[in-house]
Amino acid sequence: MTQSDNNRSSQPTIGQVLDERGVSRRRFMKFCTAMASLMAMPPMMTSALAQNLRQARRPSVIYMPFQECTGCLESLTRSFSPSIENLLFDTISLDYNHTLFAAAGTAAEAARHEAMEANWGEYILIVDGSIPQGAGGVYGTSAGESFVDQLRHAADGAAAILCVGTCASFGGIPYANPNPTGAVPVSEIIHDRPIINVSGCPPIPAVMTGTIVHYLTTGGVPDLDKYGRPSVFYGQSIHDRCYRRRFYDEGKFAKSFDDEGARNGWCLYELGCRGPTTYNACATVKWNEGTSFPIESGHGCIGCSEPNFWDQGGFYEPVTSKLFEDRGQIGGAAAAGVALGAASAYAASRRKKKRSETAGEEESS
Amino acid sequence: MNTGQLLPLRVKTEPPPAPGDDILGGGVRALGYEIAARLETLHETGESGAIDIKSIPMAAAEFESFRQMLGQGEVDFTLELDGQTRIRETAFPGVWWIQHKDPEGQVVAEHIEINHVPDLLRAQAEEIGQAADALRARLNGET
Repeated sequence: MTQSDNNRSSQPTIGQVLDERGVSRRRFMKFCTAMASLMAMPPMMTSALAQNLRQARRPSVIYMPFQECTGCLESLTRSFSPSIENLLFDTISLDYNHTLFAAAGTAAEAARHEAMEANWGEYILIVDGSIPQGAGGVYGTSAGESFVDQLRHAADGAAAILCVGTCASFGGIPYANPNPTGAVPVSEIIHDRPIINVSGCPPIPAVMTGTIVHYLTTGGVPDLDKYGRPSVFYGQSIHDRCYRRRFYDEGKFAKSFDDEGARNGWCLYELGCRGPTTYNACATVKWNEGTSFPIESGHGCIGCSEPNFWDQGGFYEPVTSKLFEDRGQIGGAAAAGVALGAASAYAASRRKKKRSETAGEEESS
Repeated sequence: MNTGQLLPLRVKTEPPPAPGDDILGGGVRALGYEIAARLETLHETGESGAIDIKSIPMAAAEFESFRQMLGQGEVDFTLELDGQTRIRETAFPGVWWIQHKDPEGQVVAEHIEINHVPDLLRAQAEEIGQAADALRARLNGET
């Protein structure tokens, strides 16, 4: 039996940890009901989910922040209500996160190495941020090591890697043109470990929790979409689940942020909403403890959970306008495959052109 | 030019239906038929079922119509489990409306359970065994 096996079997189950903390069965069942709903599982699967989760061993988690803004961690730690999600996070063993640790420097690094060694091959590695590879990786270093080397070493002992946020998943903002640091996502460096991308800038906290619950209850990676994201959360576009969708279907669009259409809650497509090309759970899970999501607050989706979202043109241009510019109007409309939206984008581009011409005339007069 | 005036931003919403309105839309009727079928299954085979209504997109008016369709039965109580959990028996025995809220009052899960008694309320066999031991220990003055 290896040291890792010994360590794993000595770890308490999540059920034991919850019992020690006086968490009642019904309280735990309530958490599992919410998780089952979040993961689109049939409600009657809740008991099975609860049973599996109780029997799961408390996992060791190493959280490595690299080239990031800490927004993802803020989202994860500040948005949680002090009960349900914490129920899970209280039970995981967060063995390293240098942002949250009280310890710093040599002590924190020693804790990381110790935790990695004790749980080698078993821990979940959470990566936050992209990894700069330019100039030999010197744009990002910590404790005398480049981020690239730290990632490679930590990934070697990981059972699976969870990329939190668009930077770790797809490179994100550091990856945007001209990418001065040579930033890349985790998947461009690590090829021999299961990688789950939980994209978003930041990602929805409940999606993160749901992904961890799935991993703990099944011991495996959930079904992923073509970008390595859990399909259950990223399987549908914002547009398809948007409560304003019917206005799109009726051809009712807000033309500016303060017109009658905006006040009536009409579709924000012409104002640049990227809901049609963005896959995430914002429209159903929502933000700030389920209060709302950007479109509900009157602003279009900016597509932050998609690869290269920062380099897809202006945030206030219709999503098909780039196709119009690149391929010509008719070809663009065909490629978009949404005649109504294409017509709307064309109308918006004509309005923009007209505004520019009017401004030009005023300047010249 | 900035006039310094506040923009009168507002979002219009549909008013809820008045009691007695016949406003059962296709989606609400379909849900009703599904519940009826599950009730028959429960009656004939004892197999329980549930429908996650939080994951079904319904406009406010549809939701209200659904609520009115199921009505209210005799049982209506609230548990305090990291936020309130409300369990209501609808006007149709065996159809329970269960809503879980977090401590901030946001709904985190909501489903219709078709069952003799909601699963959440049942004491589990393992717990019952532990309870017997605990009670004996108390009777013997050990705790």
